[in-house]
Amino acid sequence: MLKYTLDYTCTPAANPTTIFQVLAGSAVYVHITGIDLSLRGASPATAPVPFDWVVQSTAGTMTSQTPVRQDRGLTKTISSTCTVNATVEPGGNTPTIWVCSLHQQATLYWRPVFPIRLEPSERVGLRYRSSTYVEVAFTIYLEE
Amino acid sequence: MDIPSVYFTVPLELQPGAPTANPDPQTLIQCLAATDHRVIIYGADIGIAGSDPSTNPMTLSWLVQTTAGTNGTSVTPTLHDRGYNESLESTFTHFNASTATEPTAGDVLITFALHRQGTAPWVPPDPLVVTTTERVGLRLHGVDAVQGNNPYIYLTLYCSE
Repeated sequence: MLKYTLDYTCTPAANPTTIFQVLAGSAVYVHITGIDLSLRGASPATAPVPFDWVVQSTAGTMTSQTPVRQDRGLTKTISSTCTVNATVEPGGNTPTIWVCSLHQQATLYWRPVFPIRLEPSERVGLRYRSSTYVEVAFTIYLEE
Repeated sequence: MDIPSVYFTVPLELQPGAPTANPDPQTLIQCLAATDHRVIIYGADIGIAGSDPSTNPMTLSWLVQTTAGTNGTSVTPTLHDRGYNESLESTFTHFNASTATEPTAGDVLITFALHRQGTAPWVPPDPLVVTTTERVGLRLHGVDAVQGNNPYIYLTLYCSE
């Protein structure tokens, strides 16, 4: 397996905002094995932010972001595509694979009991689902 | 012979509580294992999205349930491997409708509390086994009887059958 991470920080401006999407390469399965997810809100009393992982059918309008190999001595090319911080939301958004919420001043080192698995050419997105917009820093752990 | 299990998640989000019929405690989700199947529950990610940090935490219990309750709402699992062409036999139900009545409680298996703004990646040391035709539920204590007074719950179960 080729392991890699994708790191990004943004402040969503719409509810929902797909903050990360991965499109699996046409000949590979992708596993999402974890997220480090931090929110930098200013109000301890504001309700936590819901997040979900959903299957998406389109790319929306998002920014390309290059992942980094865990072993940078490997020369194999990552065949999947990562994008971040949608300004036009991707379509589909079904089925939902995972849903949870996180306090706006908290950090979650999320290690799923079993990884989120993508079929070849499948898209999966992580959505921020609150109309309270706080900075979110995240690292996605992937392998293909 | 090694027979592979079908792995799946069960995502659920709801706001507990209704003016008249929803009790405290309330079953967030009930698993019914199909005939000749077992469901293995490996863990759950649970988030409560409350806006009051000073209210006491809510309590959650996993327990055996001996009846189906009434007027539950079906919850659809998502296959881990969506290329795997097999239907799940077991079923999942929540009881948040105002007309729902609670299943009958049996043995309580596990109890823990969670802050109303908290997140718990809950993974037991050994998975919960729901044996053939058995019902096991996750029940929430501390439900306010007034609609709108309760925080949303965001929940994902990790299972196989």
